[in-house]
Amino acid sequence: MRAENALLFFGKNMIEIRNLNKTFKDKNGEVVAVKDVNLKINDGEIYGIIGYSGAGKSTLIRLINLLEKPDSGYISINGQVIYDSEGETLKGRELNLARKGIGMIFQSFNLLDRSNVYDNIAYPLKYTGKSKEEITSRVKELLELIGLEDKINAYPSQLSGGQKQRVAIARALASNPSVLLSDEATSALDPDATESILNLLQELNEKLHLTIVIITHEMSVIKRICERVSVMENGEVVEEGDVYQIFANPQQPITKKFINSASPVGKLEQLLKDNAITYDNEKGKLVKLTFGKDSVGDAIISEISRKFNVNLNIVLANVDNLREGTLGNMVAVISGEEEKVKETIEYLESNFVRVEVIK
Amino acid sequence: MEWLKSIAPNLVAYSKNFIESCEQTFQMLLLSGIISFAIGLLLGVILTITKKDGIKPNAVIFHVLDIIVSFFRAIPFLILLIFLIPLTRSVVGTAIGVKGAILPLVFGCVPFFTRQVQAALAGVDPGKVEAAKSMGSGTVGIIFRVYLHEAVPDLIRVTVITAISLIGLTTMAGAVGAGGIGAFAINFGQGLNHTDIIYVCVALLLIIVVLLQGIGDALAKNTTNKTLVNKKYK
Repeated sequence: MRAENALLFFGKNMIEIRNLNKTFKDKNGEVVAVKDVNLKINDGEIYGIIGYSGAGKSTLIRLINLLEKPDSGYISINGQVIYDSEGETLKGRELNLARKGIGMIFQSFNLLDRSNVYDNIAYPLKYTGKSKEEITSRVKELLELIGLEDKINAYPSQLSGGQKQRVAIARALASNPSVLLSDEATSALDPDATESILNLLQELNEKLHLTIVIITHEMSVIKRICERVSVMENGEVVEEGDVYQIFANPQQPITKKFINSASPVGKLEQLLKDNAITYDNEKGKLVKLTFGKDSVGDAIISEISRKFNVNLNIVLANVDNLREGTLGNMVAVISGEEEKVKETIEYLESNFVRVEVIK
Repeated sequence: MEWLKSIAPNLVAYSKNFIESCEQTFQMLLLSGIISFAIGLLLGVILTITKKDGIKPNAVIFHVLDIIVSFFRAIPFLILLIFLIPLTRSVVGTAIGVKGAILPLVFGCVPFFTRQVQAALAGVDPGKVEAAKSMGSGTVGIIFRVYLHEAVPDLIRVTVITAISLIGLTTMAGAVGAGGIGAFAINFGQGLNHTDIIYVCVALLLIIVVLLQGIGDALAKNTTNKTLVNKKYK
């Protein structure tokens, strides 16, 4: 395979961000919102950026389409340089044109309340030289895509939150962008609507080969549809990688906190604090087991209990279905002879189970 | 007619003057109203987009306009009328009559309406502006397709409020020779001690205000979260 083919095969960069910085100044001083961020987002992937409010993630996504102006750094989308503090930066008409290639959806939908669904979706198409027939057929196509054909004449005030977000998605996609930026798009929705919006995003990703960047504070969203993720804290990306890898082997405390927030196993800390887990400290060890995709399917628990003559008391357990594979988590007390317990742990580790001894 | 004669004999006696003064009031209202609406809307939009976090921030334009608007807003209308006499004379040739009243009325009305327009436009969710930007809309597009479009119900409300206060201004302009219902009430009602004339003038102004308010409220209600005439797409 030739070099450029290999590059194509592995997917080219859709978004490239280098050394991006943004500081807000106000009367009380400076707030560093984004600090030296570097990101490469591949063509056709769903990329998550997670962080608590104030972590800088919303600023970061606004920098991508220059809704906020960076202080320094470099941004390119689909090969086009959007911002370069050491070179050319898009302005005026050129910037407006480039923005048509970058769709964006918001937590509060931001539909025009005085326009019906048709006019909302047609917003980016009007005044671009397209004929009425072209606009109508495109709007209908988009309505079919989001499954709201019957709401063509409805006003936003007559729609549910989930339906409003669907219309916002259709509007963002009207001018065929290659990238969709999603700023907390599901944060204002109930669980059912969240699920349906995430399904729609995944469908669009597959059907249209759409690159999606998702900003969220909910790990469940990342878990559900993202392939790769960045964890942000105080304006910096503190951890980055494959969602599966991050879940299987988180490094930073904040990442662990996020993962715990999305898993029943995360209740462990609270349970320990409340002394809700009781066991004989002499004979047993409290362990956290992580089953990767190489071990999640095996009947390893019953195997070890037979083989090493130890007892396992399962405290908490959870299985997550991530895009790349299944991931199991379990908190259990292994009790038995000290030597046997040690052997059990060694055996587990040799069978692709990650073991953390908690106590 | 007989009935009107029995309850307001003096009004019927001066009916010609009365009708003439009504015409003058409507002329003043209409002319200064239209001019003030256009200028006030323009200034309100400029102040909205040039402010610090507006879509085209420009500190110089914003502060200069802001100070001018505040200045004219601070002057009581009766004093403004006298203050503007030289300017009115040099622009329209006379400082009396309907013709002479238009300019001071515009000066009295525009600052008030500008502030009202600013308030109406400030009510447009900045998220909508951000969304429009993200879809590649430029400044003109955002002004017409987002700000003015979404603020229609509020703009109707503030237009009615301004129009009603403009009626008040026209009666004051009457005091310095502009004619109109205000002057008629003073000269013929109070001056000749014909109380029936005062009552009829008050009733007429009341009817105009109630009508304006009613129409405005209905229009504002029917443009909230929808267009006035529903479009139907198949």
